[in-house]
Parts: sequence; C-alpha cells; structure tokens
Amino acid sequence: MTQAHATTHDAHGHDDHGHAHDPNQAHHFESMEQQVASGKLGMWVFLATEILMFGGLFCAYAVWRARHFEAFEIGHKQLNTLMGFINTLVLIASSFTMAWAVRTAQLNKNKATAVLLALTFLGGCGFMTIKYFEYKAKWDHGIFVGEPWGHWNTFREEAKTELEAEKTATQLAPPTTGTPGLVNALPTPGKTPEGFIGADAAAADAHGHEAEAHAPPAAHGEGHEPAAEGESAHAAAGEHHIDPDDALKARTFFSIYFCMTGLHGLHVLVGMGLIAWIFFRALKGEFTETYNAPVDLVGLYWHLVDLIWIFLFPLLYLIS
Amino acid sequence: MTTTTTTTTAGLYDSEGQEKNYLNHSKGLWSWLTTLDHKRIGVMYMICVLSAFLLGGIFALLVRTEHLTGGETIMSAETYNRVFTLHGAVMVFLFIIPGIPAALGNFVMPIMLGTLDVVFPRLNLMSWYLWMTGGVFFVASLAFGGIDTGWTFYTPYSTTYSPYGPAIICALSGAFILGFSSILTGVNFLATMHMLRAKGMSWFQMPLFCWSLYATAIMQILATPVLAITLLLLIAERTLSIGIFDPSLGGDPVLFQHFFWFYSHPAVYIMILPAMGVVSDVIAVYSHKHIFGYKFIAFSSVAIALLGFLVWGHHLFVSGQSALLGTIFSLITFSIAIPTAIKVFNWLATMYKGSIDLKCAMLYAMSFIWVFSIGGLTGLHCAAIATDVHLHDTYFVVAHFHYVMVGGTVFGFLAGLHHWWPKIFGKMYDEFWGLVAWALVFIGFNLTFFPQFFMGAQGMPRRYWHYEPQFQAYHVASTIGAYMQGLGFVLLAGVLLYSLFAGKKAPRNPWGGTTLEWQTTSPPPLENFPHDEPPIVGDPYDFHAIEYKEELEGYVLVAAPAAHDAERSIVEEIVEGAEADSYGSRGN
Amino acid sequence: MTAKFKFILYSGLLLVASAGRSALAGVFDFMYPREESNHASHTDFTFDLINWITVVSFIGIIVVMVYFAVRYRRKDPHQRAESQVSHSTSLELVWSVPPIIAVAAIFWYGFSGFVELRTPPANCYTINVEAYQFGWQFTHPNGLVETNVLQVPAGEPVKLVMQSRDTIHSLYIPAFRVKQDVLRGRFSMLWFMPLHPTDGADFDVPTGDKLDEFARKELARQVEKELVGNKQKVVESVVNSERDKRFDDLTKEASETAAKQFEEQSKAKPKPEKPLTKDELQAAALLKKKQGLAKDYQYFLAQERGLILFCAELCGEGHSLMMARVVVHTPGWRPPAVEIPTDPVERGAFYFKTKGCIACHDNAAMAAVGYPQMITQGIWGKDEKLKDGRTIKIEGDEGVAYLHKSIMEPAADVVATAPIPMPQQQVTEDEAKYIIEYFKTLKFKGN
Repeated sequence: MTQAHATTHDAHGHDDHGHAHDPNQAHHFESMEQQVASGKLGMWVFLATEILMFGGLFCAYAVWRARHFEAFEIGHKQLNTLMGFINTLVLIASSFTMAWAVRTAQLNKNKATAVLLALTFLGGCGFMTIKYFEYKAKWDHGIFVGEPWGHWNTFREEAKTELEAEKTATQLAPPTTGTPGLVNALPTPGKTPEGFIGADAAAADAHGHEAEAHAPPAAHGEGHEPAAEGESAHAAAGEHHIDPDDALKARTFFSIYFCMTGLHGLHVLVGMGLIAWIFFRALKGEFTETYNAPVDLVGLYWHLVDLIWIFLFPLLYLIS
Repeated sequence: MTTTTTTTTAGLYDSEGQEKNYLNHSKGLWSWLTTLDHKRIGVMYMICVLSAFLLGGIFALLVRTEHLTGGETIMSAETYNRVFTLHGAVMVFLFIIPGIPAALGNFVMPIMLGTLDVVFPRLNLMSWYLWMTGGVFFVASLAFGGIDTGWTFYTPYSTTYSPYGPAIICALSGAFILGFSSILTGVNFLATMHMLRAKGMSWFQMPLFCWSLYATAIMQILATPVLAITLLLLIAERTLSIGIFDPSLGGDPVLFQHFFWFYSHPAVYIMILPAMGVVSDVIAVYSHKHIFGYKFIAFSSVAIALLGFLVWGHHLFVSGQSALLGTIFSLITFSIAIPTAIKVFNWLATMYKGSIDLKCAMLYAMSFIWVFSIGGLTGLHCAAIATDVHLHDTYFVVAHFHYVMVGGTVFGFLAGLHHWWPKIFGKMYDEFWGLVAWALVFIGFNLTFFPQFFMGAQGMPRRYWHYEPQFQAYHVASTIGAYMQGLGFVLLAGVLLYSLFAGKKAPRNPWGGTTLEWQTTSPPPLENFPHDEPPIVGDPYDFHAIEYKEELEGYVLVAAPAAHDAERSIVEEIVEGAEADSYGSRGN
Repeated sequence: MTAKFKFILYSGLLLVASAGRSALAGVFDFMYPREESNHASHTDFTFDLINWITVVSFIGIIVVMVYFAVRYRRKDPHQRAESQVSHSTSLELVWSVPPIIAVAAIFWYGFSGFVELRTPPANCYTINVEAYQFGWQFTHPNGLVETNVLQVPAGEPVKLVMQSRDTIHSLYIPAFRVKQDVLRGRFSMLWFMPLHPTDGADFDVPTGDKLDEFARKELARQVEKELVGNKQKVVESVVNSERDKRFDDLTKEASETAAKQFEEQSKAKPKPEKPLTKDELQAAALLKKKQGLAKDYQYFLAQERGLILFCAELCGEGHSLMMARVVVHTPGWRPPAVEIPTDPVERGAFYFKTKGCIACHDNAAMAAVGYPQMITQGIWGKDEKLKDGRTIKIEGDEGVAYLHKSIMEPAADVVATAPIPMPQQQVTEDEAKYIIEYFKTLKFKGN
C-alpha cells in the first residue's frame, strides 16, 4: 500500500469518502481533532512568545533591582499593596469564571458560557478600574513614567539644591503647598513631592502610612495639609529629604513599574476584547461539544495574563 | 471546485483549455489581497522582499559610491550616516529576516509536506499585512529624514543625541511590527510541520528545507519577542525618558546592547538556516544523489538554533561586559562552528560520486559553499577575543557579515529562486543568461567584500565617512565590485522576469527533484496536488524512483519512493559490492 | 580521496599551520599594522594561526568541491549517480574532531591574549581620557591637558582610564591592537606598552630635507591619485614638474599673501603698535605655511607608523573625523610641567587648545564640513551669517556677547554653514572670558 492518504475536499464539506464533516472544520484539516490540536499548539507557542516578551522586562527588573536596591526600596513603598492585592484576587476570580466558561462551552451550554464570559469581562473591567485609580494616585503625587513634563529632573535638581542648602542652613523654609488639585503641578521648590517618602527607613515607615492614607484622589485637596504637617514634623530631624541620586533611581523603579504594569494592562484590554468577541458568539449559540476551540484558546490567553500578574504583584509590590 | 470522477487530467483544465492552477484560479487584485492560499501569499512576499532588496541595494550603491574618495564624494558625513543606516535596517528587517521563509518557504513547504495549506492561513495573510505595515513605517521614516544611528540603534546616541527623533520612532515602530510578522510566520510553520505532514510522512521523511524552516521557526518564536520589548523600551526611552538605557538619566547603555543582541544574534541564524536548507536540497537534486548525513544535517540545524541563543555576548567583547562573561561567550561561539562545518562537509560528501548538473541553481549553491566558507571561517577571527579586540567595529567585521548574509542568505535565496521558479510560475528561464548573471554576481560580490578584510585588519574602522588615504585602493576595488554585483542582479531580474512572458512551459519536474512539490504540476493547482493524484510519500531523496523523459524535458516518478530511508551507509555499499548504480533501474 | 587520507592530510596541515610562526611568518604580515605595542605580537600570532587554519580549510573545501563538480559531471540527463551512499557515522566523526581541536586551539590563544589585554601591571603611567563629540581629551598625571594628541613614553606600561561626555565612543589604536568602548557614567580601561619611540623631535617644525621629502611624498601621492586609472597619461616630467611647481607655488603663494596683507594694512588705520616690514610679513607667512605643513607632517609620520587613534563606535556626524595622533617618546619621558599662562590672550589660546575646541575649530577636515576655523580664518570682525537669516558683525560689545552665547549656549545662534549646532561644552564663565580675549586677537582674514 503505497498510496499516501490524500487530503482533498470540495466546497461542500465532503471528503473523498463522502462523509460530511463539521461545518466549522477548515478545508485543509483532515479532522476536527487535528484542527483543535493545531489551534492549541499554535496558541501555546504564541503564549511562549508572550512569556519571552515579558521575560525581557523581568530581566530589566532583575538587573535594576540588583544594582539599585535602595532605590527599589524607596520606590516600592510608594505602591498601594492593598489595591494590588485586590487586583490579584479579581484576576484570579476572573480566571476561575473563564475556566468554567470553557467547561460549559464543552458541554454545549452556550447561555451559561455567555454569562460566565460576561463575569470574566467584568473582572477585567474591575482590574482596569483599580489600576486606573492606582495610576491616578501616582500621577497626583508627581510620580509618573519618565519625564514627559520634566518632573523628575526638576525634582532631582531641587533635591540636590535642597541637600546643599541643608548643609548650610539649619532650618528649612516652611513647605508651601502647590495649587491643590492641579494634576501635573511641579513639585514646589525645596520640597519633595507631597507624601514622597524620604531615604530614612524609620521616617519612611511613618510616612508610608500617611502617603497611603492620602493616596485616593478624592482626598487630594485635603491630602496636602496633613502631608505638609508630617513633613514639617520631620523637618527638624532633617532627614526626610531624598538623596538626589536615589531620587533619580527611584524614577527608574517607576519607569519599570509603569512599563510592566502598563504592558500587562494592555494585554488585559486585548483579552477583554477577545472575551467580548466570543461572548457575542456564545449568545448566538455557536459553540458545540466538537467546536469550542475559540473559548478554549481565549481562555488560555486569559490564564497567561493572570499568570503574568501573579508574578508581577509580588515582585513589584511585596518583596523588600 | 466540484468533485470530479473522471480521469486525472480532466479536472485540471478550465473551459478554455487552459490548465487551472493557483495563479489563474481567480482574477483581480482583490482576490490576491484577500487570498488565504499560501502559494499566493508566498508570491506576494516574494515581490515585496525583492523590492526591499532593491531599495537596500540602491542605498548600498550610494554608500559605495561615496567611498570612492576619502572625503566628500556625493554626500556629507551626516547624510552618509543615514544612508548606511537605512541600507542596514531595510536589508535586515525587510529583506533578509523574512526573505527565504516568507517568499520561498510559504510556497514550497506545505507542498513539500503533502498538505493543502499552513495551519493558520488567515494568520499567514496577517503576517503579510504586518510586513507591509512595517515596511510603510520604514519608508515613512525616510520622509522624516531617515535615521543615522546604525541599524543597531545603540544608546545613548539613539535615545538622546541623534537629531532624527521622529524618524527613529517611525523606524522602531516599523521594526516592532515586522517582528510580529516574523513571529506569526514562525508559529505557523512550526504548527504546520507538527500537525499537517501528509499521512505516512515521519519527521525524518521531511525534506531538509523543512527542517531548516523548523529550526528557524523556533528562533523566530523565542527570540523576536525580546526584540519587541527592547524596541518598546527604546521608544519609551526616547519619548518618555524613562531612564533605562540613557546614562545621563541613570540608565545603562550596555543593558541595551545585551537586550538587542539577545535577539539579533539568533536573528542571524534565522537568516542563514533557511539558506542552508535550500542548499541541502539543491545540492542533492543537482547531484542526483541522496543527501549525505540527513540526520546530521537536520540535528545540526536544531543545534545551531539552540546554541545561537547562548552567544550574544560576542558582540560585546569591548563594550564593558566582564572578562569572565566574555570568555564564556567566546567559548560557546566556537562551538557553533562545529555543526556548521558538519553541514559543509556533508554537502561535499553528497556531491561525491554524484551525477552533477551545473544548472544555475547548483552554481548558486556551490558558490554558497565558497562564500559561506569564507564568511564562517572569518567568524573564527571574530570569535577569538584577542583578535576581536583589534577587529571589532572595523571593516573586517563588515566583510565577515556580508559574506555570511549576502553570500550566505542571498545566494541561498537565489539558488532557491532558480530552483523553484519553474514550479512557482510554470515557466523556464534562459540558462545561459542566468549563468552570465551568476558570474557577474559572484565575481562582483567577492571583489566587493574580499578587500574589506584587509582594510579592516589594517585598522580601518566601520561606519566611517572619511578614511585615511592608504585605504583608497581597497575602496575603489570594492566599489567596482558593487557595481558589478548591481549589474548582475539587474540582469538576473531581467532573465527571470522575461521568462514570465516568453519562457518555455515548465514540466512538472525539470530538474529531477524527489521531494513532493515535483510530483505536482508547474504551477500547482489551488489544492497543491491534482485532485486524483495525491502525493506519494517516501524518502525525500530517493533518486532511483525518478527517470528522465525526453519528450517532457523533465523527470517523472517511475516507482514509489522507498518507504524507509533510501540512504545507504558505506558499510552496506561495500558489503553489497557496490552494485552497478550508474545506469539503469534498481531491479524493478 | 578516502576518508582516512583526508583525515591525515587535514591533521597534518593543521600541525604545520600551528607549528611555529618562525617557519611560516610573514605571509600575512601585509594585513597587519606595524607592531607598536607589547600586545601586537600575541594578537598577530593568533591572527596568523587563524589565517592558516582558515586558508588551508578553505582551499581544501574548494579543491574538493571543484574536483567533484568536474569529475562527476552529468553528461546526459539519464546519467545516474555512481553511488547512493549517504551516511557514515565514522566519517562524521572524522570531520568533526579535527575542527573541534582547531577551534579549541584558537579559543585558547584568543583567551590568553585577552587576559593579557585586560590585566594591566601594577605601576602603569595612567592617563585620563575624556571622549566627546568629536574629539579626545587626554589629561596627564601632572595636569597637562591635550586635545587629540596622545603622548606616551615607550618601554613602560601605559594605562588609559576613560569616560565619555556624551554618547558611546570607542578608543582604538590599530598599531597597539587595543580597543575599548568609552561610556558615560562609567570608567573603562585599556593598557599597552609602546615599543618604539617615533622618530625625531615631534614638535619641531621639519626643515630642509625632511620637509622636502615629506612634501614630495605627499604631492606624489596626490598626483598619482588624480591619475589613477589613466596610466597612459602619466608622464614622468608632468609628475616631477607638478611637484616642483607646487613647491614654488607654496613660496609664491606665501609671498603674495604677505604682500597683499602688507598693502591692506598700510591702507587701513594703523592698529598694531609695531608695523611689520614686508620681509617680516613674508617670513611670518612662510613660517605659518610650514607650520601648517608641519602639522600635516606630524600626521604624515603618524600615518606612516600607523599611530593614529580612531573612534570605533558610531557617535554622530564627526565619528570618522575624531582622530588623534599618538606620539611615542623615548623611555622615561614625562610631560613638561603645565603652566597656565598669565597673559589673558595666551591664557585664552591655552584654553582654546586644552578644552578641546581645536578638535573641530582647527581641523582641515572639519573646515571642509563647514565649522568656523578661528585660527586659520580668523573671527574678530567677521560678518557671521546665522541659520535663522540674521547677520552679526563680531565686533565690540555685540561681538563679545555673541561669542559668549555661542560658547555657553551653542544651540542658540548657529552659524549658517554648520550642519549641526556645536554640542554643549563644559566651559566655565572664566574660561570663556579668556577665550573671547584670545578671539579678539584673531582678526578675520576673509575666506
């Protein structure tokens, strides 16, 4: 028997032997099993590329952490661990509903699939919303990625002159508040951005709570005074001002923070788009026992997005 | 196409008596732009990458013309920086990396596997659109004045000191998009080879071209994402000054180099492995002999792919990485020489006692061995650290990588182009003028780049607009060679394009190939194989199974290819007394 | 050719190649610059080793390939291969093992040379190097600062400790076989021991025979360059007469310029306190011409000896123009003590030289690109056309203000001929003041 098995089909979905096959089967596949297996292989390989891409960022993180440990210390204390933790729970929950959706799709229960996909989508929304608030809080404190408006350099220069002034003066000028509510107000001269924590560890802990308490933007207006109070309280100690080099390096921590969480957030948005797409397909009842690959594959993607966050969260928020 | 029940040839012709194939299956630009047929996508890629080659080649001729004299010849130093950067960037990102896999692999590989298409045809089309988009971004960067950073975008020059900000962002975005085109092609090819091999075709019955595409796909998948993130970080550094690569912001420029070369070194193996795959198949066909050491060649491809990830630091010997790291990278770099040497020796052994037909494709394959040997051997000079300290960033390195990239990839591409042209377009080209073009290209190429080894060893740095007078003779020779090459390429293009209009109709198997694509018509029908002639799978290099037929001016399958490997060991040969294999059949 | 024979041949050739450089020395020497440092011999030996292995392998491969192509040529399309032998594990080993040995040997020599390159001895003469766009600044231990000239003593180890002011540069001296990237924010190091002092006293103006010889060589090279490819047109007498003519022209040119200047000066309001006589002017002009030649002569010497320092990492427009000369003094040499001149004009000239200005502003190659040359063209009194269309007369207070701004904020008023603005320099207000004083004495001579 030397005849190789041919794989010819015609447009009506009948192969050589006249068997009908699943209308969802593409013409170049011999069977649905082959199509499903191929799709899975493709998706896993694609996920490998995503891991490599984030891997580059993790590598950058590792290199910077090794070289500028103190800066990472300073930087990571600014982050709101509670919000991060809630985000983690939200994503895990959405992964759960996603996996369940895959199961119901396999059981031909399109309505249930649709409901679960909607819940997953909402989980994604929740994640992005909390992310939005976190970012906004950083922005309000003058901490943002890079220096689109010259924050960091100004900040650094001021920290430097301030440090020099400190050497000659014994008393610091009373901190003046910037215009409350002005989102990208430059840090006021001679002062670190409101609520920013100084290099001293002890002061840092005391400040840490204060900063976090004032993080929610709604309280921005009020945030000024207590922070100012807190800082003038430490002015006498003279140790709440950041070493200028550390200030610059903390900026690197935040650049990496925003790059990693930003790229991850982008992937969450893409995932939400994909979930919306199969949500509508589920509503139309397109998935069956034999044809549920789209749900499965989107599910794989969503799990990867979740997994990446599970690595991001401890690395950025937790370890010290 | 409706089901046919009549004889083999009936379904092949349309109502006008013209043979139905993938080219005339549907008409109009829109049918091409929305095609899901891997063959059409391959042809579209071919047109695109060859256009990119033309653009890069024009930049190259500008560079060489400028180098006729040491000072300003036709352009200022500033312009020169942009011209050579664009030459490099266009050639690397738009031509060499996609080149053979996209243009030849897309067309040939599924047919070689005996299947209908790649696993993800829509993703395949998207890869092409991503290429087009990336290409548009690159050309757009020209509109912004072009980039002057070198194709390697080293920081902090590219982040802070180059005045061509918008052009750089454009080019980086283009490269990013092209990276995804490459990744998706890799995903597609890998999945296809895993899942869609014809029934009965084992891994070791795949032609070696497919093996090389498989190894390439592994690298495309694992390395390109790192480039993607590097380019994103570079864009962020340039636009937002995040302070990761720029030392004035506290960043580390050497970190950029590590990230960049982590991709770009495997990238050079992405460039060369497909070419080696083409050469493996071409040499076997035109020697009419089973490839020697099939498994060794296949595994060495994979070995090169994997080892290629471990050597990126040999681009950073003088950049400030630690001496220990440098030593390790040097040692591993030498290890890649071994699988490469194995391939070359296996090719020569294939030619031994073969029946060698010096057609154009074979000439390109043989000259590949010539130029790739020089390129690979001069890699030894670069891998040894003491000599690399002297040679890094000189013309020696320029000559080395042109020998492997142009000599290697381009010659491999041309070998494949000449070999598969009749299959893809159904027309035969003029051998004589093809040979003339080959001679111009081969001699011109060597004249262009060989003097550069000496220049570099004598201390002429690269990326230099001005040079010291003692190097002028070399430069002039090099420029003459470049123009000769250009002429050769133009002639080559003319020969091939002319064949589309006035060439003889190609038989199914003009060269005597034994892989599956030669069993189908030239050009193939839409479903790759005629409806009633499914491909007959077996050893892809069983030359006893085919015979020449004068009336067809081509070869036909007279027996089923051996089900198992038809390769024979020396021992078998000696034991069976070297049976008369020279003429006649194999006892059928 | 059986496999065994091939194996023996290959290994034999390998042994011969790595046997000893005395037996095979010299074949590849034309490729290398002169060996001017202690590293050169080891690097060149490694290079030779690799060259031999490369050449022998390449010839072997090509001979075999061409032989097969001819011997086993297909004479008609029916001709089958003589044999379908297609695998042999023993053969695969035969051609894997010798390459492994060869590359191991190459790695070893490369590695040991590298160790030497990166391990400076204890008592090096250390020079600090600062690279910038587009020049090199060398600071000796005693404070002497020089631009684009690296003076080193022969016979003792010299260490360069380097950093960059801006982008990545790479310091490369082919004759010494050393290279290392120069980064900002980080120090990098390289070391070498120069072997041979350069001939002659380097800062003397060459005179008489030496000058003749240099001039003739330069001119001959130029004339031959012009006549390359037109060998028929070369007539000995043309070459000779061109040469002699050029010499006469030099003197003639100098005299004519001097005469013109004298005329203009006598017409203009008397500015100098002591007007120079015509003869003095002529002599001064000739001396200046010779000094210009002398600089080229230094360069010529450096070129002959290969003692040029290049930048080897793309750093911008001036990447190929930021060359420095290397001057090797006799063993034990130390730089003369640095005295900052007290006279304001001399002090300005001192800063102009040592702060790196002359890298671009007293450089023929840079002049060709469009940067103002203060010394050869002059600057005070010039009508400077700017890129934004304005014209500023560099005179009086306005001139001083313009010069000050150009030094401290180079991106502000850019000269029309300059392709890109001057990169930001590190000049203090004080230093700028003296430089401007110096500029006031450099009267504009017209283009």
